[in-house]
Amino acid sequence: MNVKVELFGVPRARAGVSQVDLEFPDDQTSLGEVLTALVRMFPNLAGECILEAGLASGYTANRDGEAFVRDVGAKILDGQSLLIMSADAGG
Amino acid sequence: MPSLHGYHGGYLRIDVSNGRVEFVQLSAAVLRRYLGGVGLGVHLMLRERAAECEALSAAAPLAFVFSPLVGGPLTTSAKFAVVHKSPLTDRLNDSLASSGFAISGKKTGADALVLHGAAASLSVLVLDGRRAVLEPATELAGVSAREAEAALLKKYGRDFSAAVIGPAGERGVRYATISHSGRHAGRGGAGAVLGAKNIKAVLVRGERRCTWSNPSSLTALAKELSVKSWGPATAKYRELGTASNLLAFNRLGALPTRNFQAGSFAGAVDLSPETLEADRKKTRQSCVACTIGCEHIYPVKAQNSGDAPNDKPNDTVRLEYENLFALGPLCGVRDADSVLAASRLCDELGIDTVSAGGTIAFAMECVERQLLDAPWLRFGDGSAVLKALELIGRREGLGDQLAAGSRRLAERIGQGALEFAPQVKGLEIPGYEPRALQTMALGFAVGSRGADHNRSGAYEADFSEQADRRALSPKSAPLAVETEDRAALIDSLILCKFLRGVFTDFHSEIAHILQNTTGWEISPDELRETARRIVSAKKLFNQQAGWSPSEDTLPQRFLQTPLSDDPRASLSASSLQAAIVAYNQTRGWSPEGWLPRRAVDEIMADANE
Ligand code: SF4
Repeated sequence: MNVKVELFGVPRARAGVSQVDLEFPDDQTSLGEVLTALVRMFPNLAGECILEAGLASGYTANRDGEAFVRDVGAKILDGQSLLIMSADAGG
Repeated sequence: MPSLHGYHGGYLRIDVSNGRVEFVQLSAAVLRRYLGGVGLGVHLMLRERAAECEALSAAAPLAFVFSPLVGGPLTTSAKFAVVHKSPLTDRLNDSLASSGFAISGKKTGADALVLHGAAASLSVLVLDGRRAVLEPATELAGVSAREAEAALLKKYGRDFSAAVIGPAGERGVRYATISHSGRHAGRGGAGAVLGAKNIKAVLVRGERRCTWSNPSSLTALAKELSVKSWGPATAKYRELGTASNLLAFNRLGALPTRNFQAGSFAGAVDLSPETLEADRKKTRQSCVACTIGCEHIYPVKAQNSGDAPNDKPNDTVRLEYENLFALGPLCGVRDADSVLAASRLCDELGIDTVSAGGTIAFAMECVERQLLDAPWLRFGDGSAVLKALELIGRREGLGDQLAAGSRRLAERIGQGALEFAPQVKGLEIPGYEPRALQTMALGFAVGSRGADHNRSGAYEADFSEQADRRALSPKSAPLAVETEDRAALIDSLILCKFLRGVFTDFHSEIAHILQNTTGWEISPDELRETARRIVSAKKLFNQQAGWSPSEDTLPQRFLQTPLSDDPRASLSASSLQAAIVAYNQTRGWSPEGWLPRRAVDEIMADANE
């Protein structure tokens, strides 16, 4: 299965890319697995944006521009987009 | 009176018609119940009976309010509030600005400066300690805030700090700002109120310092907070600034575009900080006493509207999300240089970028609908935005109508224009599309100063798992109340909101800071109660100024039409109304939003002390 990850703000700056396609063997995966794959690909995300336990406190994830998810067990389905961005929308 | 720590114990009441100054004592009980900043400001407005005044009359008071933390060691604490009745909304207005003016102002030996009266001609109020002098300032008429500030500091000395208005404030533009060191007390028209008093600038200096109850503990807490402020919670502000919202909001369909006709903008990438910094050399700055440094300064290329040459080719401008959204996507403009130049022009004139952009975008839609005869004012035309800003600054032609804000312009146009004027209570809506962020929509509707993202942080719920951002329910009301209460505390302490992410247990940590500052045994629960009191006091001011429940709403556009580019982003009048009732009940007010008698009596007993 394929998940498109879109990065915004600091996660984008750390990874150096705005989006990446990730492949997973099963037909569904979890937020935790996507984050692990991301850190493998972009080690600069570790420690600041992504911790071992999941997203760091200042960051959030959003499925397909719809629901926000933080629980590492949250399901991500084939073809879905996962947006990683700052949880602080203050401006 | 037992000695007060963190406070001077009173405010200076200054009659700017004659320079007379009176020190008015404030009890420790009142200071504890309203803290400082916005909280103390609303108390002062109730005490001074400001709700009864016409906002631009000589009698209307305007307060610069400091706080117990100003002058202390805590990061981001060099802030002051400007509080008054707004000429844009005719309701309470509280705006914040940062830096040396807060520290110098408090050193005059007062917790607030309350100006009333009006000078006979354009003047500067020079406050040296508790002594006031009014000096003529006719040579500064029409001069930009930045140039006036520089000239005044050169004349009076750099140990003074100055809060200054630009030409827009002098000419009564209803969303004129007061600026200090390039930062603005931006929303709601404080600059017009100062201008109506014929005061171009307030200069302050002094030598009175407050003591702290436990200086060594406070210093240790300040060090801890500074270290936390360098961490990941503030990386967004340090590295990209507030403008980093732009692409994320665009992706979520929450970026107001073409006067809120859409939630995403095709030119967003061109305006993003990522694109801007790729081919422009930016620098970073911070307010005095700040360890975060969120200000990203960009060069401005010479632009003109076709009417006037730009004679300042090497200018720079602070880039903020709100400037970018309001002068870019909201007006359909994707040319970054035009947006930066427009933002710079707002600084020069001393006007609020959100209200300026909102009013211009509204006028553009009126032109599109043939409700307004200004064929040059078209969505997407950056030079038209510049021309409109220049006209607003001069209050000339159409600019005179735009200077009154979108609500007054809509009322003048009639023909249903009010339905799509982007405002609540007269204050233009900031860069958060209400249909895509519906807890924020509730925050906008009930906000005491109108549509406002700084006094309600309800978007926090929309960016979480706690609420469905496109399905407002009464269950969201407590979330809106919680963020509004937290903002009331932060704005009264005063600390920068960009620090909020570094606290793990906000109320306990703040209680600890206040205990060490003031010596008061303040508990987290007392702080929660203080926040609720401050929000209620703002509501009471509005009720005294003529508020009615019907004004806690959004324009019809948001309640009748789904977002054109996201049909699921749809908000109904009934769901908004149900959430407002839940909000009012969560606050302990009547379902319509009236304060209970007991709350009114308590707050007015403080005001009448
Ligand atoms: S974070 Fe930004 S706005 Fe806040 S105090 Fe620091 S420089 Fe000023």
